[in-house]
Amino acid sequence: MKFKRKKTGLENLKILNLDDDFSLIKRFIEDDESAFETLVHRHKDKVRNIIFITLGNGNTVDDIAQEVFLTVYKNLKSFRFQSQFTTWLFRITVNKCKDHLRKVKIRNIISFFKEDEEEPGYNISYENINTAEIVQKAIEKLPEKLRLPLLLKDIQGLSYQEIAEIAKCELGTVKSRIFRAREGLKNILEPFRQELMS
Amino acid sequence: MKNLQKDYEMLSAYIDGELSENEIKSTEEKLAIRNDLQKKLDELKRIKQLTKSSVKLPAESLYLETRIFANITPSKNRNKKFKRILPAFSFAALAILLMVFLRFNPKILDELFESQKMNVADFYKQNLKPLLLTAGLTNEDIFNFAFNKQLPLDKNNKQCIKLGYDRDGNEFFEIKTAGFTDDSNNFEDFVNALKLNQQQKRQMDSILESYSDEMQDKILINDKNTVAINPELWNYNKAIFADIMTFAENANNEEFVKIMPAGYVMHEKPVIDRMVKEIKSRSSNKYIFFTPDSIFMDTFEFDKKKFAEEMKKMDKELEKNMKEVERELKNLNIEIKLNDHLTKFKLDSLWDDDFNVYIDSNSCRVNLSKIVIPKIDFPDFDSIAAQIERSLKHMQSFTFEFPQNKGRINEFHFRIDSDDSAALKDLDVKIKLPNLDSMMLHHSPKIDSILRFNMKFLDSIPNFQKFNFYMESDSFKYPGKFFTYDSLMFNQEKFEEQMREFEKEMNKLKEEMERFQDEYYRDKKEIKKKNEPVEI
Repeated sequence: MKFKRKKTGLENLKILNLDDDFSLIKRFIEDDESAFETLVHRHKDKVRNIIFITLGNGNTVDDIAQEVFLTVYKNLKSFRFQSQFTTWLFRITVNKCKDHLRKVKIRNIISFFKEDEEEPGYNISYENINTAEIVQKAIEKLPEKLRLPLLLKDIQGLSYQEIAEIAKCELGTVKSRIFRAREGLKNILEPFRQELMS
Repeated sequence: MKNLQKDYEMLSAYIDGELSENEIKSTEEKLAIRNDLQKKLDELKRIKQLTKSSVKLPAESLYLETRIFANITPSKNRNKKFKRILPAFSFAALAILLMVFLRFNPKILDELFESQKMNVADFYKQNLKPLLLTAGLTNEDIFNFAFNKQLPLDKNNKQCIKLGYDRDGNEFFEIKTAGFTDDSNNFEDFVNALKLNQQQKRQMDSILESYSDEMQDKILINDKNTVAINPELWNYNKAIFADIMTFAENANNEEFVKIMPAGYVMHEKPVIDRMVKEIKSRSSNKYIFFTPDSIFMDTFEFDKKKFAEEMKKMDKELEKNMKEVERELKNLNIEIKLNDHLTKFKLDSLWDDDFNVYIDSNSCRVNLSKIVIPKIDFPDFDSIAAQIERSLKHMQSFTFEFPQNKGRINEFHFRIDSDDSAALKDLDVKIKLPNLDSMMLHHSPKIDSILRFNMKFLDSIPNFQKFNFYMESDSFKYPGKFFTYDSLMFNQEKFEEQMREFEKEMNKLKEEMERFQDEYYRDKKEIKKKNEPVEI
């Protein structure tokens, strides 16, 4: 007696997940503008999060996100399908953030007045401060090359491999940087050990 | 220490779930036996938890997509607009590039232009043939060229090459459309006026024919409507004239003196011969090219020998196939169409220095300001005509002609009373008629103009009375024309005929006036009668 195997659709779903971005890109290449809208809708939050993580503030997130997607729109037809779309998208995002930070630095050099909101570093005020804020400010004090892999892992949930591709570095380097970021956080937060433990 | 660091990194990766199965197993084994690692693991877990719980991600943006797509649409439109203006933009960019290129390479354009000019010049130089042969010019045309300074290019279209002087006295060439006046039989009349015998006629013919040959390469034409003129043509014009005049003077001096205007002094024959010889020996390969789209000066070598050989071949072909050659000759149509937008090519620096070009709707003139042309003293017909015109400026055109003399008249006498012209004040003319045989003078248009005698007094009848004519002699044998006293010219036969017609007209007018007067008075009387009161 033969039993009919129930179709769960999970295999197909898995394939769809893998190829979905690619198929959307192909549709876009074939002048289906709606495919790009789907891509934006699907990835905009991750892009915004990465921007937020990288810059340490949310003032310019949407501006930079807009720039990211416009760049993607202009270059999507030349996408080579050699990596995942998200890897390519996040790399563009990180590069846009770096460009922004570079501009801010130049602006600060030229300007007499520093733009405090753009400054990644900060002085922690110990009055009326909660745990989350303490940790956030501690994270912001980390060097960018440590902070970014840490947050991409812990906040965005990216794999070490994905982070390595975005940051264009070795997998072992990512592993090392994430550990060093955590060690750095521990040291920064050492004075608040009691508050954090409670 | 390095191993400890590596163990900690492995713990960090362990809590991130980034270790392979072997690494997990190895790490867990170490954790089971080492308290420091366990402690570190707890620490790392705590930090990870703190990180995850502390970082607040930005709130969802409701308008990000709207902003993105709003920016994408104009971008698309911009692309479309850009595509639309792309050609103009390309041209502008190209123009800028060209300007920049020429700014740093100014000679390239000149060189290019020069090379193109040479190409154009070469094109128009092809297949040039002598006009005198192809246009079938006769001795009559050569004769008229000497005296009238014009040569027909295309008789049908009255197109000609004209030589003249500008206001500054510089020579010019002019190709005129509809400017050719055909003075036929001038040569024959000249020969008759001089009373040349058959041998002298043949000599005259041979003189003109020799110039026809000599001048072959002075005017060249081709099937591309090009006319190439050698500036030496001017010299040849003077040489032919001088040669003809010298010959005429020597052939029959008595008759020659009669036809020459007062004050004309001939050069001695040796002088003229030397001058003609000098002109014939000169050769220049510079030509002024008149083409449908350009006028330029350039050198050109016309191979007379080669052309003569070609002509011989042509003669043979002519014998073989007469009709075909005739057809070909007919197809050789000389027509210069002058374009208002003629472009002058500056082939070399000679352009500015040696000649200037003036173009209007039906002529094209090249002034030869610096080309050396030997000066020859000609009878100053122009000044004679100007003098007459000045003296007669207030007079209307009137031609005197005398009737054929029957052997009675030998003196013509008339008087003009003038009140406002210094030149004609109390002009009293006595003309002895016996020597006034027919002359050639009417052959020259300049002298022809002398025939026109203008008198303002003739437009009113009373003033006509101021002329007193006395015809006293009967020895006038030939009908004809003469000139004397600053070239006044009369034709007796025509004059008398006109006088008779005039008298008839006057009589008619008189009769009409009398009739009109009678009618007027009669009408007046009738009106008067009508206006008288009627008795009832």
